[in-house]
Amino acid sequence: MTYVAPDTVPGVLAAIASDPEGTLVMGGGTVLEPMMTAGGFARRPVVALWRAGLSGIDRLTDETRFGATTRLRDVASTAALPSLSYAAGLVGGPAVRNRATIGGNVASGCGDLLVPLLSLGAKVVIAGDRGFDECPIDQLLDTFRLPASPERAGIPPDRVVTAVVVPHSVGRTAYVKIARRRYNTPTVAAASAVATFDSAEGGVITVARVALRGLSSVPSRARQVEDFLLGQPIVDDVIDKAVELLDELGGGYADAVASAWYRRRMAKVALSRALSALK
Amino acid sequence: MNERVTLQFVVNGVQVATVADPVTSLQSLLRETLGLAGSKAGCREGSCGSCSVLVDGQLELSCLVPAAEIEGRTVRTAEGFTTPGEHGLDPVQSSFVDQFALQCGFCSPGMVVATHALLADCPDPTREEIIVGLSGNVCRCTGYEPILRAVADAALKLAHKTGSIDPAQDGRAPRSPVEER
Repeated sequence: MTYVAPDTVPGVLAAIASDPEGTLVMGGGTVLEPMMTAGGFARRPVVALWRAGLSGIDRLTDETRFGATTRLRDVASTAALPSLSYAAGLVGGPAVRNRATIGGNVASGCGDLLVPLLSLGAKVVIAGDRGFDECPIDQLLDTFRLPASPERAGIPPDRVVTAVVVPHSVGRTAYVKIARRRYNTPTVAAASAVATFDSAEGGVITVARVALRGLSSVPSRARQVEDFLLGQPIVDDVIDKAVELLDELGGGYADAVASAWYRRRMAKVALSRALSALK
Repeated sequence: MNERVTLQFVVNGVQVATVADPVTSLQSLLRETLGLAGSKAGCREGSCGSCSVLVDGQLELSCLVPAAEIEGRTVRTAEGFTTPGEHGLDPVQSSFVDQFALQCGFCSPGMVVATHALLADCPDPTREEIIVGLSGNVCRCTGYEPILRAVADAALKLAHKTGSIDPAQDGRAPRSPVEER
């Protein structure tokens, strides 16, 4: 196995190019390092991103751009995006957040930050030998293989995520994570919602984006809920009906953390609380 | 066989040089190459915190740090905090003893390191700040309350303040550093 940590993005792409299908791209190492300790990936080349200058947060007028290797600790203290920073602060414990990266969280296909990022309409910047492309995260997730794997699911093997671009929302935002403990705990179900209203004092919803985790292992937008909310005020009766729509979707997935049965129920609780937080 | 790289770094004030597979964990380097068992191998996946160390002053889990990233860095393990003082222990360690904050002791080295990291950033933490600061460290024995008191006690010691930490109090007494604010 080879391990390289190139100091430029072209260097990273060149290193990956010698074995795109086999190369493991390492951000913070919070997913790959334990797998390697456990004996997996023994002969696969590793390209590490920590020296490639991909860390940093640029706050622009309408959006914030996070370099792919920006640590979750720093994402968690970003004032402009409260639902995203709140979600980042709930991933792992403090030491995990000192290493885990926003790019890795997205590229894993199953990271918690995908839920608020979907609701905020975020994009990823992907570098390849033809330059940089911006891709909406929901479009990226549509191509993810299931079950999500650490092998950059959804990102073409010869390319790498270099940034996550998040528009600033003019609406209200919310993120709710349901888990068995308060901190340092994997997610059972989560919901994120962004809504703009036609007047500052209540009014009806003019734009809604809702994302869920729990009905499937890859986070997704709940478009039926979004369509239902348009033109409605955010009151309890509307919230209850919106949550009931999830019954028609079924789903839920099982793992060591929770059963599919429990996840279907907790996805509804998460959605209910997230929508209530928009009041 | 993986290729190995030469690494030079500082551990507990001592310059070390070694050769290692670049993706070997720092935990493995510390325990197996350097014989420093204070970084405990609990979960080996970043969930339990028992391998906590400081790297350049920052709280890290040694099971998550690849050896390749440690070149030129300064590492401090639980063993690196013992200094002459009360019982030969540093203020955090002696607070843990005084407050009965350890039983089996497996989580304790990691808890001591995490406490140092917390108090360096936040010398006068509230109860909630202590909980968040130590949220990456799991304990199966104590139920955590004695650990919270130990951290509050250590905060007072390190700030050279006096105050009372009464285990019978529920945290609402005035001037208790464990009260919620």
